Amino acid sequence: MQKILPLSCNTILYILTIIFIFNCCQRDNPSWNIDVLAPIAKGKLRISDIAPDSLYKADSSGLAHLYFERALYNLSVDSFFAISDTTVAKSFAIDSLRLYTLNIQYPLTLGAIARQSGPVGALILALHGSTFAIPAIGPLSVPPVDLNADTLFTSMTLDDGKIDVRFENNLPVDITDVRFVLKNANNGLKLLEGNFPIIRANTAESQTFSLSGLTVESKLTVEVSNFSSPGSGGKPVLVDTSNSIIAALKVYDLRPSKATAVWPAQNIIEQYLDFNLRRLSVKLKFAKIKSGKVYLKLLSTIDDTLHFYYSLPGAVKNGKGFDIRKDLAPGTTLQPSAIYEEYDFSGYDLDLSGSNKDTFNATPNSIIVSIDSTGIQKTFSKADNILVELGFKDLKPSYAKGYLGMDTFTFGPNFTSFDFLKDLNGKFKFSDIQLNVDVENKIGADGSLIIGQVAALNTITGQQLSLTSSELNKPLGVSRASDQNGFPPILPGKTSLQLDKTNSNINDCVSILPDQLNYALTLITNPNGNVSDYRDFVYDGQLLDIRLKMDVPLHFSIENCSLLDTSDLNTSGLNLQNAIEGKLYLKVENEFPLDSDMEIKFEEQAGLSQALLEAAGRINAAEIVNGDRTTGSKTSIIEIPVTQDQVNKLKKAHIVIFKTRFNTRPDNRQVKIFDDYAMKLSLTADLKYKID
Amino acid sequence: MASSLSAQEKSGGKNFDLKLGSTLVAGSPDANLIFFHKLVAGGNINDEEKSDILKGLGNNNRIGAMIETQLYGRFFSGSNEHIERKNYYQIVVRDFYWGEADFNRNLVDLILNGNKKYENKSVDLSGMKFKDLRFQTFEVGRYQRFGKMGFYGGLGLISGQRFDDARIDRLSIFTAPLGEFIDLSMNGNAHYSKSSMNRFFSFAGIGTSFTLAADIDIHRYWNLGLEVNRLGFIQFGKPTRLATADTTYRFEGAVINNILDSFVLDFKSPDDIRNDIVHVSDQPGYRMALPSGFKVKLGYFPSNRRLSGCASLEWIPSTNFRLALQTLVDYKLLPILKVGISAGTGGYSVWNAGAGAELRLLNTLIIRADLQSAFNLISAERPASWIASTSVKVRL
Repeated sequence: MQKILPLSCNTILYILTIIFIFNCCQRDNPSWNIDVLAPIAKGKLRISDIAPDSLYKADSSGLAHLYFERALYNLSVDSFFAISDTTVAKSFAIDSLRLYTLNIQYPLTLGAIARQSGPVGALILALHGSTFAIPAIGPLSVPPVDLNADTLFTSMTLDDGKIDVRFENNLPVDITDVRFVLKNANNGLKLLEGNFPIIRANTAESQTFSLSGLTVESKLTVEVSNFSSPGSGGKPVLVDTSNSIIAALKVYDLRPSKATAVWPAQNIIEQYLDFNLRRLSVKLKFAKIKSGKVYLKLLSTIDDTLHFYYSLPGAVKNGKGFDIRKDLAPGTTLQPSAIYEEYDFSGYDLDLSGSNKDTFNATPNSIIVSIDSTGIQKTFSKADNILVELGFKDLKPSYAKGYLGMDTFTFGPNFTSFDFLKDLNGKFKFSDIQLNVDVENKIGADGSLIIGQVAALNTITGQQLSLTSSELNKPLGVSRASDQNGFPPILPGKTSLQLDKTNSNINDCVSILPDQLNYALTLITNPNGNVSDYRDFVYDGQLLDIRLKMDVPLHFSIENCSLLDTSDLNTSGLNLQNAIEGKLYLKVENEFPLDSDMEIKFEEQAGLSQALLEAAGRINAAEIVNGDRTTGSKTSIIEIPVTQDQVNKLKKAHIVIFKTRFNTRPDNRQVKIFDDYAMKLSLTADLKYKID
Repeated sequence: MASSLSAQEKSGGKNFDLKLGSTLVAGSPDANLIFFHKLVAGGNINDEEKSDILKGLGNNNRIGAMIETQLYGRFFSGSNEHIERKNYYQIVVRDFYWGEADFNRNLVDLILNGNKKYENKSVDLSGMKFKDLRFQTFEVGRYQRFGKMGFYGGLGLISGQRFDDARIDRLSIFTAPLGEFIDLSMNGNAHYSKSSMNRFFSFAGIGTSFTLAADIDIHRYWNLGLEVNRLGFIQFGKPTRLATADTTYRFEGAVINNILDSFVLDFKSPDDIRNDIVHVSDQPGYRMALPSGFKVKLGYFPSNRRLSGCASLEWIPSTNFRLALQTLVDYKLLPILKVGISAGTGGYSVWNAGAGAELRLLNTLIIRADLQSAFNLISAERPASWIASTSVKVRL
C-alpha cells in the first residue's frame, strides 16, 4: 500500500486497540466540525466553445467570425446524361450456312459404248489400236450409271443450289444429240434433264442447272439416254477403245433448307457494325467507363459446337481491346444450348466516334460465329437458328468527352435551412456581413447562372425580408473548366457573386435572425452552343456546385438575447454528504463586453422536478475604454447560500440549466467579440463540514 | 528483560518457568490525551476542546509507542535455593512493535479546524516524520552465575513483518481566496515494506539480535544490573517500496472544458491525486538498525521484609524515546498479594505515575499487572502517557 501520511492505519489501529484495552467504554465515533474552503469546479467559456468548430474561425486581427455554408445546387452528371442499357439481338438461320461443293466424274469409254452398239460396235472393238475411218454411230443409249456421294451427304433439300453438267469428249469423233437425265437413285426423282446437240471431238461442253426446291440424295443415277456420232467422216482415225467421254457433275452454291451432310468449317455469322448507344442526350466522342458490364446471351439449336468471337476494338484497357471468345455446345430445337455471361467493363476507354471517326455515341464492334468442319454427317435444317444478344448494362462513365448540349436547368423556388443562428433571439444588429454565392464549375462546358429571388425568413417571429441587390436577376457567366487532355487535375472555372452592405441589404436580412433562406436559380449549359467542337468534358463526381457562403463577423449589438442551455450533470464525484451548511461561490472573470444576467438551476430531471438548488446573479461586462477591445476582465461573484438539505440534494442533480440574458455594453454600441475573450468560471465551496 | 530484578524467591524445587507477558510504552511529551480520549470515547469535539488539544503543541511534536509481547520457557539448573541465583537456559518467542512520529501543530490545527482560516495563506506542515517497525524474534539464551555476578547472553533470529520510514521535509498548503484553488508543495520520501507480507512470521525481513545482560549483587538485598536489548539489525528483502515526492500540485476541482456541454464533476480520487504527487518505485531492500535499548537497573529485594523496589534508567538512542527513569515500590500485603506504586519520567512522555498488583497462587501461578500511567489517564489535559504491563507466569 502506498503511503503519504506519516501514521499508517495499522499503527493507529494498533494504538487504538491498546487504548481500547484501557478504555472499554466506547459509545460512538468522535466527530468535529471543520471549515472547508475548497474548489469544486472550474471552467472557461470562450466564443469558440459556443460555436461549432465547423462554423467558427478567427481572422488575423483575432475578431471572431461565424462562417455558414450551404450547398444551393449540385449539378450531377445524371442531370446531363445517362447511358441507357443498350442491346443488340440478332437471330441467324441455317440459310446462312454453306455446304461443300460436290464434284462427281464418270468416264464413258469408247469400248463401253462399242459394246452397246451392235455390229458397228463390234467392228470398233475389233479395230482397237488400228487406224480406221469410223462410220456414223447411233443413236445409242447408255445404261443408267449410279453415282454415290454418301461420304459428303445423305440428302439435302435445297432452297437454292446449282449443278454444272459437263461432258468432255475425248473420242476421236464428234458426238451429237447427247441427252442426259439425273435422278435420285432411290425415289427415281428426276433432278435434271438436258441435251447437248454436239460435242466435238476432244472438246467439252457444259450446262448449268438449278437445284432450287429439289431434294438431292447421295445416291444418284445418271442416264445418257441418247447420243450419236457422225463418225470420222471417212477420215481414218486411231481407234482406241480406252478413250472416253467424261461426264462431270459439280454441285455448288448450295443453300439447303435441310441437309444431312458433312459441313465444312465456316463462319456462320460475320458482322462488322457500329454499336450505337441509344437515347443519349449528349453527343459523346469518348468515355472512360467507371463501372458497367457487357453481357452476352447465346442460344443455339444447331447440333454442333459454335465458336463465338466478339470484339469491341474501340474499347481498350491496359492496351488491350475488349473481346469475348466463347464456345457454345451443340443444341437441338427441343433443347437449345444457351449461354448467358456478363463481363466487367470497368476501366475501359471507349471510343465513341464510330468506325470512321466521324460520328458520336457509336463504337465499332464485330461478331463472328463459326463452326469447325463437322467431319461426320450432321443434319442441319432451316428451323435451326442461333440467337446472339449483346448489350451494355449499367454503364457509368468516369469521364466523358463530346458535346454536352445546351440545356436549361431550373431550381426552385426552394429553401435551405439557415440554422446556425437558430439559438439566438432578442434584438440583433449586425455589421459587415458578407454573402458569397460561389460557383465552382468542374465541367468542361460553359454555363450561365441567374440567381432569382432570395429572401430571409424567421419562422418563429414570422419576419421575412427579401434580399435586394442590383447583382441579382441577371446572368452570371460561368466559365468552363480545363483539364490536362483528358486527365486530372481539373482547373475549375470559378465565378462568385459577392453581396455586402455596399450592394445589398444583407446586414438587415441576417439581423432578423432567419432560420430559413428562400431562393430560385436558373443554370444554362453551353449557352453559345458547341463552341468546343466536341471537346466538352465531364468527370464523375467533379461537377458544378453552387454554394452559399456567409461570413458573419461578431461585430454587433445585442439587446436581451436569451440563451438557455441544459447540460447533463454528474455529481457522483462530489463528496459533500457531511457538509452542514455554508455557501457556494460562483466567481466569474468576464472579458466579454457583454452583461449577463445568469440563472442557474440544478434539477434532478429536466422539467419533471423542482429545482434542487437555484441561484441568480449578474455577470458584469468588461469595459471598453479605447478602441475595439475590452481592457482585461471584470470579476463578478455570485454567492449561493446552501443549507445541509440543499447540499444533500445537490448530489441528486443530473441536470444543470443555465439561463442567460445578454446585453452588449456600452448600450447602443456595436462591439466586437475577439477570439481570445474568455469567461473564466470557478465554483468553490465554503462549508462547515463534519468529520466523523 | 533478560535477567530478573525481582524479590528473592525460593525455587521450592521447581526448575521451569513458562511466562507470557506484554508491555506497552507509549505517549507523547507534547500532545495531551483529549483527542485520544475522544477517539475512544466518541462524541463531538467542540471548539473549546479543540483549543485544549492544540494547547501545548509546538512546531515539533513527538509521539511514540513500543509494544512487546513475549512467551518464554526458562529451564533452571544449579543448587542455589533462590531461583534468581540459578543458571538457566531460555527460549523466547517475542513480538515487538515500535512506532513514532514527529508532527507540527499546524497539522493538528488543519485537521481539527479545516483550511478556511488559512484563506489566502500558506500553512507549513514541514518536518513530519514517521517510523514504525514490527518483527518477531526467536531467541535462545543462557544465564550463568559466577559468584555474585551473573551474565546473560541471548542470540535471536528475527522475522521482519513490516516497516515504514517516512519523512516529509517540506509540505505547505496554500488556500487561494474563496478557495479557488489549493496549492500543495511537498518534498519527502517514504520507504516501506510490501503490504502483502504484513503478517506474523512472514520473514519479509530477516535479521539477528543479541541480548546481553549482567548483574551483580552489590549488597545482600541490592542488585545492580545492566542490559542491552535488541542489539542487531534487520534486512527487509525485495521488493520494498520507495515513495518520493518533490513537487507542487494545484487542486482546482473538476475541470469543465465547456460548460455548455454535458459535464461531469469528475474529481480526482485520492489515489489519483497521490499518483500525481508521489512517485513509487521498487527497491532492492532496506536495512534498519533495531531500536536497541540500554538499561541500568537497581533492585532492592529484602527477603524478609514486605517492601521491595527497583529503579531503572533506560535509553534507546536514535529514537524519540528520551532517557527514562522508572521506579517501582511493591508492598506485600498478603502472602499471595503484592501491591505497588510506580512513577517515572522521560521516555515517550513527560512523567507517569501509576500502580500495580501481583497475585501469587501456590507459588506456581504468578499474575502481575501494572498500569504505570494510571494517573496520567485521569488527567487528560496533561501530556499523553500510556505505560502498562501484564504477565502470567507458571512455575513448575
